[in-house]
Parts: sequence; structure tokens; C-alpha cells
Amino acid sequence: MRKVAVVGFGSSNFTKEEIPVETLLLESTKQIFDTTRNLSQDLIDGVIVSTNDNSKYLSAILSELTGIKPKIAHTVEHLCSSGSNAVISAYSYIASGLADVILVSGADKINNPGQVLEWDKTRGEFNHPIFWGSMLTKSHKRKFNTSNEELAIVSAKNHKHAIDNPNAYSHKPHTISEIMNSKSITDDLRILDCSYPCSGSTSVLLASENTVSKFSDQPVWISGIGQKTNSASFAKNELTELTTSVIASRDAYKMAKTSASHIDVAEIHDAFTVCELMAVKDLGFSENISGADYVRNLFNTENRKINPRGGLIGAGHPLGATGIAQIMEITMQLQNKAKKRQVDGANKGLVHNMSAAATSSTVLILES
Amino acid sequence: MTKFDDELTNGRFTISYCDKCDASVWPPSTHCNKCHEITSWKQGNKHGQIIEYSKKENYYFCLIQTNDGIRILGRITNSIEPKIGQNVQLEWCGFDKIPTFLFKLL
Repeated sequence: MRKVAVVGFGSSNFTKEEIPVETLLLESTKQIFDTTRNLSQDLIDGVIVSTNDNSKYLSAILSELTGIKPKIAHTVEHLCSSGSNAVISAYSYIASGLADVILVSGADKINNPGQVLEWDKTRGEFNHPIFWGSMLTKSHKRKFNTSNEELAIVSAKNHKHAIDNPNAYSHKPHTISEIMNSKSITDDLRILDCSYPCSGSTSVLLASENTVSKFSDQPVWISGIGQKTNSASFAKNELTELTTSVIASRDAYKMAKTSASHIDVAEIHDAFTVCELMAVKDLGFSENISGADYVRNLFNTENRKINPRGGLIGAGHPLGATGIAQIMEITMQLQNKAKKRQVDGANKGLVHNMSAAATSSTVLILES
Repeated sequence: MTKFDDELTNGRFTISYCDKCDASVWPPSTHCNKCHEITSWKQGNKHGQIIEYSKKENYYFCLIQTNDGIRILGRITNSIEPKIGQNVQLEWCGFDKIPTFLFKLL
């Protein structure tokens, strides 16, 4: 297999405005053309769009809007982890030799249909994500004696990080007390425990090892990939473990010949505050301490290792763009371009992207 | 509308079952997800236990495992706080765009 690297990126602002998905895709793609050296339309072999939008034929539409005539053009949909899965599709085309350069563009509008999986009858009337989020939170409290304050620390940390992310939909800091006293959604979730859907788009450009030098002196290599899907329905899930994330991270570490202790910076899928507490444990970061203690230490020491762009809670969650925005952030971190968000000396990063209550997980390892 | 939805619309909690595997097939499907044989449909067991719960406004919602071994999210009709492992019984079910399952505490 050929090595594959991220050589370009671009992002729209994440916003609560209702913006057409085609406009969003074009905005982040244009930034790649504006900022990537030597890039011209004829060099792009593939255009893959990641979205939950109901619009059809978006990869062909984006290609036409940007003057690309690609060999490969299609959409990837996998709910909240559409973005990382689209990047892995592009990786596979390039690694196999079917393509050299692929544009991956993800976008969703604030009111996109990916938030509710109608097929899942096991959820009954409780088909909104807040209900599985409440089940996971209550079970975490029960098993680990997790407090509302420990949950609130995740949100306080990620909102604080998002202040330095110019694309984030929220630039407002929130104290732990504000978060704990924010509007109650259920007995176990406050509104500031939740990530929020928004409009947004992020794109990355992937290139084969024999073409990267044309576009970048700082390629960021995709060295590990792990994916696991256990089901589509929520009700079969374990409530106190992100089982698919455990498996996906194990496979990604193995492929990259590394482990959690060697990861310098990570973007974690904090759909709800409890998800970050679970993920830092299930991905192997917290080692012998609880996820809550691990995140509290990060917060108290202003360590930006986990979710430096603000995560989904701080940056917003335009479903089809999220996984790609996570990859863009880790790329910037490994290129030492993250400005105020920069984690010093970051050489190896991890992206963790999930769908539908962790019924499916994707983990990527990136290296400079 | 699937068979499951149709039955639910008429207030009947019906689940798919594989006679060959002697097992419930859940979520409901026309074919078994182990052997891929066509499933039959049978009345679901209305009794189960609470796996987890939370509360929204003035009602409790729960993850329930029925005695058929399937799990489902439902609403509790009692206003008292449930307990983990507490027995429940399906009191009412219906379908109007989405399924609704109402359980009472036993």
C-alpha cells in the first residue's frame, strides 16, 4: 500500500444560520485552492462529499462548481462519523493506486436529517440523541459515581478551548457553575452538556506519497485506521463502555505501531459530556485514573491535549463536517499551525469519531 | 409500513422470531440476522425489567429488557421513581409516525 497524507485543509465558520449545503461545501473547498500550492483542478482525481443532507449528487455538484472533472465522485453518509469515513474511503483509493489526489469535503446544515435514525424502532418515541445521552450519563454516574460537576468540567474545558478556534460556533466561556445550572434537558443532562447541530463545512486534500511534495512541505501522514460497527440500533449497546471505540482504537494503534501513551493531541467525539469521560478511558488515555480525574487534571493545568479546537460541544456539530474538522485540527497541530490552540511539540495525533450512540466508531492516527 | 408498525398501530406488540434459531430477531425484521431465514411474527412478551432510566419533565423513560431478551426504550406511566431491575409490564403500545411503548411498574 502507498502512504497517504493530508496536504491541505479549509473550513467555513460553524454557525446557527441556515445555509445551503452546496454553498457550505464550496466555501471550505475554495479555501483549499486558495492555500494549497500548485493545486489545480486537473490534478484532483476524486471528490468525495460527506453529508447527511438529503440533496443528491453533491460530489458531482461540488466538482462542477469548482471546475473539477474527477474520475471518482460520490457521497459518503454514516451519520455523525460520515466525515472520517469519507476520509478513509479517499485513503483507500489513494493507498491502492486508484488515485493520487482526492478532495474530501463535508458539510451539513443546522437542520439536517442525520440527528434522528427513524429506522431504529428500539428507541420508541425517544428517538432524539438526548435520550441515549441520558442513559449513558445515568449509567456512568451509577458505575463510577460521576458527579454533575465532573461532567460540567468537560463542557467548561471545551468551551474554553473553542474561544481560540475562529471557526467555532461558540466563543463564549462558561463556568462550571453556569454549566451545572444551565437549563435541564433531562434529570441527567443540562443543555451545556450537549453538543449542538449547526451549519458548517470542512474539507481536506489527501495525496499519495509520490505527489505530496508538490503540495506541501509538511505532509501529515495517516498511519493508523480502526473502524468498528456493532449495530445500528441503540438498545443493543453497552451503557458504560464505548465498545466500538475500544475495538477501533486497538486496531488503529496496531496499524500505526503505537499506543495511547504516545499520542500528543486528540480530537474526541464529545457529543455529550459523558462521551469524553468514557472516550479518554476507552481509548487508553486515562490509564489508571478515572476519565473524570483525567479531564479534571487537563482543565486545572490548562492542558489542551484533548479537544483543542473545542470538541463538538465547543465548536459545534455539523454532522458531515465534524470528522473532517477533527482531522483538520490534528493536521494543524502536527504542522505547528494551531496558534493559541497549539499543543507544544505535537508529533502524533488521534481522531475519534462516532455515530449513533457509539454503535459505530472510527479512529485515525496521524503523524507529522 | 412494516408488519411491526402495522401491528403496533393496532395496539399489538408483535416481534419477529426465527423458528430455525429459536430466537427473537430484534430490531424487527423480515429475515433472521443469524441464518437469514424468513422470520415469523409472534406476540412479544409484555413483561421485562428496567436496565436504566432517567427523567424528563414529569415522566420517567427507561431502557427495558423484556423477557424475550430484547431491549426497548419506553415511558413509565407511574410517577414514582423506578429501580434498576424492577419488573415492568407493557401497558399500551401504538404507532403514529414513531412507536410508543408505555410500561407500568410492578
